[in-house]
Amino acid sequence: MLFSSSKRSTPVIIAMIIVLVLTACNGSGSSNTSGESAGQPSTANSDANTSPAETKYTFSIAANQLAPVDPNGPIIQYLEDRFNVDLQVVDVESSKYTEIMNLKFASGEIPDYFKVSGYSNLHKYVSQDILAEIPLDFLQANAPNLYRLMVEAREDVFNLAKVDGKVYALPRFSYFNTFRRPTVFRGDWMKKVGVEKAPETLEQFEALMYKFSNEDPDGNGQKDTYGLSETGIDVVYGAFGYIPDYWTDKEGQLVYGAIQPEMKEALTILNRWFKDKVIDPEFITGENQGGNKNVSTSFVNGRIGFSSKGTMVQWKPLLYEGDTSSDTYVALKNVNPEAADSLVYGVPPVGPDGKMGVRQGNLVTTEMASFGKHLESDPDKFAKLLQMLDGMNDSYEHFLEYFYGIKGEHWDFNENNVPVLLNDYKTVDMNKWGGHDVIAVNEIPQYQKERSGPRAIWAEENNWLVGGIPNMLETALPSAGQFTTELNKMQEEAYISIITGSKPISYFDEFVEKWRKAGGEQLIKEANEWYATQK
Amino acid sequence: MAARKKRSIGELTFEYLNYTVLIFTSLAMVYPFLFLLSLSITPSEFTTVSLNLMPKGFTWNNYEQVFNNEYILFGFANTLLRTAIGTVATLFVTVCTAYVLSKRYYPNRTFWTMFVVFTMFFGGGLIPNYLLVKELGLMNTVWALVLPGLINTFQMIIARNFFLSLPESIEESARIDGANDLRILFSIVLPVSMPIVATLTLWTAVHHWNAWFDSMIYMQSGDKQVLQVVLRRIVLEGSDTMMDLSSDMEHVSRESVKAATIIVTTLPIICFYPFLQKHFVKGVMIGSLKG
Repeated sequence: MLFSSSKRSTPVIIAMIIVLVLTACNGSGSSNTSGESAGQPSTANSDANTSPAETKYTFSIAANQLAPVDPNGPIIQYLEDRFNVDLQVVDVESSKYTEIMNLKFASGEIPDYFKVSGYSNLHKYVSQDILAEIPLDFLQANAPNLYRLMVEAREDVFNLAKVDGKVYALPRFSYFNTFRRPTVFRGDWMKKVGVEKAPETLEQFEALMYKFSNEDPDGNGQKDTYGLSETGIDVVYGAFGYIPDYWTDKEGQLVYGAIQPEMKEALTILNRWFKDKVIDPEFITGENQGGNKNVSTSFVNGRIGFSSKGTMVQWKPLLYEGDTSSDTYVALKNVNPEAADSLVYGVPPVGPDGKMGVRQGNLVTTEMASFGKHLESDPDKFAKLLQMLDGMNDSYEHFLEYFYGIKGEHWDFNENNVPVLLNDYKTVDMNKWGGHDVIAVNEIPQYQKERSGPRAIWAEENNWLVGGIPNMLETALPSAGQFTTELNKMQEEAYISIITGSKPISYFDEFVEKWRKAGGEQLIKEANEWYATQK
Repeated sequence: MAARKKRSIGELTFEYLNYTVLIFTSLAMVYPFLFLLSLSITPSEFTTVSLNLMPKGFTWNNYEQVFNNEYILFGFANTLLRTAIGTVATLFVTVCTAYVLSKRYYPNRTFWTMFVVFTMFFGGGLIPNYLLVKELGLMNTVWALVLPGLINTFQMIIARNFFLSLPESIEESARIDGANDLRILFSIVLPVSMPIVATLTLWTAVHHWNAWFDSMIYMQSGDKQVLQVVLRRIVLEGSDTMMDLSSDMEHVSRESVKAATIIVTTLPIICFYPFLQKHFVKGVMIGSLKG
């Protein structure tokens, strides 16, 4: 009509092509800016021996925080003044930390010091040349206290952060992980069925569970109680020496718990219990029906009498004025105060071969802290950063300052020598000031123990350090990504069907065969290769 | 004399069945919101959650906890800013594009339409988008939230189809009177296209209101984050990612606080709907064309 099509469109197409070509050429050149923003050392530092007393370095730090960090927060100021540095904390949303960091790495923004989550990410970042190697003698020279304290806590700690024989990260500790999972009984039910002490052998445990489900311990005339549910089952596995999901050392080799022949006996027992309605029929859906994920609602509602859900921190009573957590204890107290105060904290029962246990975490967690690759070519800056970290961790008092803030203003010791925040400050506020684990990422287990005061003491008194079975595989296996989803599904199906009886016990051998063939054999090989390097 | 139309048994049955099904469906849809509303005013001691509607207590605590967060006001401001700018800009650009592509006499119309539709199927992915926004210098500005998603191809095609359905005669009559294309678009076509404008506004506004991921990756200062990011942080404040190291966390965000967060998020947008409702319903072409 008004426009003739052919004459107008040709120049447009040519223009488009020109634009495309121009952007393609320009785009790839400017995006490769490795190294973070700001912070150039002065030219006087060209030889390595000059101590950089005049140079003020700027360190960029990324860790996952609960709230954006105030750049002028008191703890940040304190650090900057004491060590004569400039700190730039990169705000990263905590729950999406790894994703956002991956984006930053891809666009070339690598901070100086940042958290790395998980061994597989460690390997990935090393292969992408993002992490700086940390020579152990360099570390020892510049951060002697930190080095000494870490090695004291666990001698081979740096082996865990090694890739191809070189150390690339500083592992993090968790003292609380050394407490095993709970073994808690309803003490009031025990009294009602006439049992005085917590069971010590598997037979006594079985007898008690049968009583819980058959002898109406809550006294309401209905058979609506069970002995145990999903998490309680762990003690039976442990009584034969293995936890299905964990790798254990057997005569110098790492073996995978779920395929051990002893598990067959455990499953036979569990199947019998399930048939006799000692195990909650709904155990497959777990013990938590809403609310705080770590609380065993089945236990709180009086459906089961034994649980291993959550960790020590949820089950402990409130030990002092102002004590927090204890979520399960508090929930139970709201519903049934007597039950809450008569909880019996037992130990895992001993099986026929003298073994016992429930899950336990590892002292060294899979969270680590690493340094950006560019620090390798700037040893003075690297050294200064290490010195700063050393100064933050070299004594309990210093650590408390960098974690909690200024004594007397933000926190103080209460009667039990536990540091508590003043003025209704919360953990979120600690984050905002620059404290908590935003920068102080390397807490020594000794400090964790000291600052939890009565909790650690109570836990040790109640045998929470006894009877834990940790996972001895502390790395990410190369083929894990390929096989684990399928293998885990296979394992879960096999175990649940044997317990509920939909498959016979003989199916166990079939499952072991299938597991090995579907990649399990490969995993065992890789696990032992890794284990050999740790000796 | 007009006889009253007699309704057969079949019609009556269908009508009753229809109403019943619709009523039940709407109840099923409204129920979760009512439940959340009642949960959000329940004191948080009741950790075990049951599904009945009557709240077991009454407290404003949960809302207090949400609004006490210092970033909440920034969040509201940023979200409003982003929604306002984003909706107006998207509306303008989408309407222009759709109108042009709906004109049959536009040269190479098929090619351009295919060109645009192609982008609906193939996208760069997360990292290229991040690099693009970074290189353009949009980081930490509201334009990083508005520009990348400025035109939604699907919406644009819907709008184009709508413009196709308008009769050409109203345009021709305006052209005879001497109007150019722009004048036609804004004075004649747009007033008549209120349903599609309302639809686009609603879709875009809701999208901007709910968006959080782009804000999380492109915004680097805490006071530029949108509401959803702040609320998400409140809800996840005591979540598992922190559990291993800080086993001394005071509280885990309780169900009631989460419910309060959801109500704070959804209530403004729900209130937005009635204002646009009339534009959907009113007849489009009434009175504009005779014969």
